[in-house]
Amino acid sequence: MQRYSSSSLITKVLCDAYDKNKKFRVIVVDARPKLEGKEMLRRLIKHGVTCSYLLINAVSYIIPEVSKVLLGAHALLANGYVMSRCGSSQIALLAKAYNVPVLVCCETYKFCERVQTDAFVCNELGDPGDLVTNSKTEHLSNWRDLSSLNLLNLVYDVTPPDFVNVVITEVGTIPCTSVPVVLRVKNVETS
Amino acid sequence: MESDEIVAFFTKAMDDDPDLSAAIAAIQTLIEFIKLSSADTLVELRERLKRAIETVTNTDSSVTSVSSGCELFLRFITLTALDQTDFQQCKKIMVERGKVFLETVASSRDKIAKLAVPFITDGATILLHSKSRVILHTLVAAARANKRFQVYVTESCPDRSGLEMQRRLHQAGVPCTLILDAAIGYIMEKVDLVMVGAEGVVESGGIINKIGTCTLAVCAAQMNKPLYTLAESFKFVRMYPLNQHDLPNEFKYSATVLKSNSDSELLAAHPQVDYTPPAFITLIFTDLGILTPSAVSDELIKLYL
Repeated sequence: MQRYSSSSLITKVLCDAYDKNKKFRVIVVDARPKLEGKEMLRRLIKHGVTCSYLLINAVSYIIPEVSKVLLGAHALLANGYVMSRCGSSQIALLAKAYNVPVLVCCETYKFCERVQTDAFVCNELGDPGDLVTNSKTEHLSNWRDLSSLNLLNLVYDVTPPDFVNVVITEVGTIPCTSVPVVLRVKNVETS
Repeated sequence: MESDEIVAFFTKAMDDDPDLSAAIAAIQTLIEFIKLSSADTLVELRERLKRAIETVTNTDSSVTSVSSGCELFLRFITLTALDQTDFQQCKKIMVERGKVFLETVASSRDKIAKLAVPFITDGATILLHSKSRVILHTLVAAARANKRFQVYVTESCPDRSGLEMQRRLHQAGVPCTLILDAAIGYIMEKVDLVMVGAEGVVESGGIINKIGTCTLAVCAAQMNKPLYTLAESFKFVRMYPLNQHDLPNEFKYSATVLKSNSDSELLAAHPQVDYTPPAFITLIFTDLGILTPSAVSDELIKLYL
């Protein structure tokens, strides 16, 4: 089982499964610049789950050993696209290529009526300085002076519904394409 | 009604009318059970009904459609205002609603045939897998509508039910050729469309059907032939398998095989059904209309919520 970056929901799912004596192994995939996976790794190990840790550039090495991929989500768009931390769509693409099921865990309050087919039309920019800090040799230390250089630190990306096998919500397991159905049902309930 | 009486009634209903779907026979048995039940409260009746459903699913018939049909029947009859003070009155209402459910379900094959016949064009070549009463009904209706078409049926081992399908199609006057299961790749270039039945339609939009359906679906998708599934709406199951491994043992093996084998021996037994993912299915014809695989979840949400 592999999971990407950090999500309190997925940590809870894995810890609950461990408490129910399920035998499994977790591979936590992490990426710069935020390295949020470390926090999740810390929590899982404290709970007693067997974990491995690697960076996103090594995922193609590990994917043949993976049985399922668990992703968290920041939002689920009305056309079935999953908006999540930058890097999630790469993992989903790779999982699809290796025939590994991808499960997205998402509460229904994250379902949104917006429609987006790519990650450029609407996104959040992180601090470009974060991309520079890690270098041992100071190649990019004067990046602000170079007018032809632009550092792009995107925070979110969108994953198409073809790469996601199932979305697990508190109202049940649904395919990615059923997001507008849930939105419609919830609108009927609240209006 | 004791469990052996339930099984006896169920098997008699199936034997009396071989064209009857196993799920419909099960629902008839359950209505009879409610009529004869000596329960005094709704909760007790519900508990006994659940045990009766277990008894019926433990027979050697198609477990998938029986369990989904019974589940939907139970929801349908209890989803009414049962606030009468007299329990016998409640039981009468439940039996009446059960009969209404049965009537809507019995007419589902006609509705499906009506929707599917326009998709069979004149001069078409159709590939079928194993035996399906819904498809038989549809093809007979198409033949009566004076459409000319040719049919290939797979033999479908291990029980060779394709032979029975060929016999019934010949009876209806439809030209039909039997092919080996292994000849699917060979014949695919000659066919215009592929039609299969289903024992169950799952939440993802995929189907559970006789073993060999997944192979057929992959081959059809690769050679760009449409795959149409014909299934009644009571076959919709609240299950979400991610791959073949997620199918429960009760669906894959018949009840006698499950009882006589331990877990390790089951690995040697051959499964009777497989799961076809929604990516390979073009359209699903049901009595609720013609659905794309992604619309199945929509219908299930409507049926269950």
